[in-house]
Amino acid sequence: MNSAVWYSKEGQNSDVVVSSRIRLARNLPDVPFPIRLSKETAQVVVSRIVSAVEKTGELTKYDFQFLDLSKLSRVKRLSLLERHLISPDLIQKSSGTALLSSTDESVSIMVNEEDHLRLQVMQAGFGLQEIYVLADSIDNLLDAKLKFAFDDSLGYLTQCPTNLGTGMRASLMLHLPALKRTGAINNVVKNLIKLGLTMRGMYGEGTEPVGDMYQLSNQVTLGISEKAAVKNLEDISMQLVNQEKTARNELRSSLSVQDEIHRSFGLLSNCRLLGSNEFMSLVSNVRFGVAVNELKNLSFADLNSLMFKVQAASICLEYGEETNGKEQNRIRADIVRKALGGS
Amino acid sequence: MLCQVCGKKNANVHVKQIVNDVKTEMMLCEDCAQNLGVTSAIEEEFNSGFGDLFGSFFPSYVASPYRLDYSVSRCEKCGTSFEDVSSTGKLGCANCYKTFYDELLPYIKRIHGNTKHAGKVALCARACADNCKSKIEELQIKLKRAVENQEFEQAAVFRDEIKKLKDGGNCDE
Repeated sequence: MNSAVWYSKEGQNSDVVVSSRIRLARNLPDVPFPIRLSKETAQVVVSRIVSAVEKTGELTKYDFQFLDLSKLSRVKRLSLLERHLISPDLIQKSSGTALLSSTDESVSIMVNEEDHLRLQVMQAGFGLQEIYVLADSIDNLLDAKLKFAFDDSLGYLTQCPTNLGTGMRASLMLHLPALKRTGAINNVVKNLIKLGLTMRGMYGEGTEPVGDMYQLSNQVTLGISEKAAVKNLEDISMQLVNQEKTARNELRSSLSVQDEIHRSFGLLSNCRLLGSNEFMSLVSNVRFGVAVNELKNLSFADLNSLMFKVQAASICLEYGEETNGKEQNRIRADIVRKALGGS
Repeated sequence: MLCQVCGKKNANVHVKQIVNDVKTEMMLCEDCAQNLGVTSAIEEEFNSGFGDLFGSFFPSYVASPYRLDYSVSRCEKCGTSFEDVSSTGKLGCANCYKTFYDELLPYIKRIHGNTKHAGKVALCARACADNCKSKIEELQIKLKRAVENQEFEQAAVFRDEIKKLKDGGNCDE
């Protein structure tokens, strides 16, 4: 794994906002959508998109790596999912699908997932507006070559009407341990729906939140411009960030919260076997501890990298695809202990 | 250890099944596990029934997704019918939006609360709009000249062309 990957960096408001992401759904106008694609035509779509990327001089700086997903093992695909480079759908269905990803994994293009092309830009911390500008410019370059399917009144045409219009999904990964503890999170989730936003677990649609990580994204894509949707999401998430910070300040003096933080740090720096769910709930407490200055000498960037590194498939990729569950737990414990300076 | 089903590949999937309190265990290779429909806990978590989320916006049809029934209208480009769309929640191609525009509109309105795009315009549509604009300007000059010369039949043709372009006609025609 590349040491300069995007998530090993720190961004604005990194204490609450783990990452920002923009995804644009686009389709070719003259080919059936992926649900109706034959194997042969799916390959044609892959070739057309790859060739458009290769022939666009401005894109060479990203040094896109091409991966034919049908040729990758399940573990390799799962590790791409863990790094948010592909969606859960591509674990089941990989025939005729591909991924192009930049060396730091911040810019990627998924081919023949739900749409012919899904462009994604990610960044550590809070910063949707900057990455939207980047996604928009790459989209223009690709549009010039591929002439995306577009309708004056419905906007960009997508396989599922839920993405019609801008085809844009902007999201923020938020760490909200204090709002979770105070129970305020339940009200937040209910109110977000009214604002055209949705909050989900770490891997998007259909996933449960683990380690107090929540993905906040826009729901509506038709009738609102990209800029307005991004601004709306940023404004609301800043309110959430402030609420979380206020709640953290109130909780930090509680002895039981301090105990939980230090106990979690103690467990992580001394354990010999560590399951992934246990890791996520403990590391959430440690992250909380770093944010309220209870724990020092640890950065959010270190913790983010650690969270990516110790996921099941990523461990298997590094230590052999046949690494079983118990062995994974041992390796996870070793990596985490080392990272936290334990014995 | 080799897979207990095919006996050829290395087994790396451990399956435990408990039926009526009787526990059975098997070691399978990845391919056999996939063929037998074994999914890991992580995948199950990802597949917890959100697939029908969109389908629920449509009235329920009992038709199978790809049954060929020529009595219903289909998209001429990909053969998708509206029943296919409502059972899968997905369209077959970009042209389906033209074919089923009227049927889809109420559902689009229900999903987005809106039916008119307000965002970025794709390059080809931008170029097309510019092209239309200059064609309309050109036709307006011709129309004015025809009226001045009392060539009313010709003027009517220009007027109709302008109307067509303004109504969103294709500028390439």
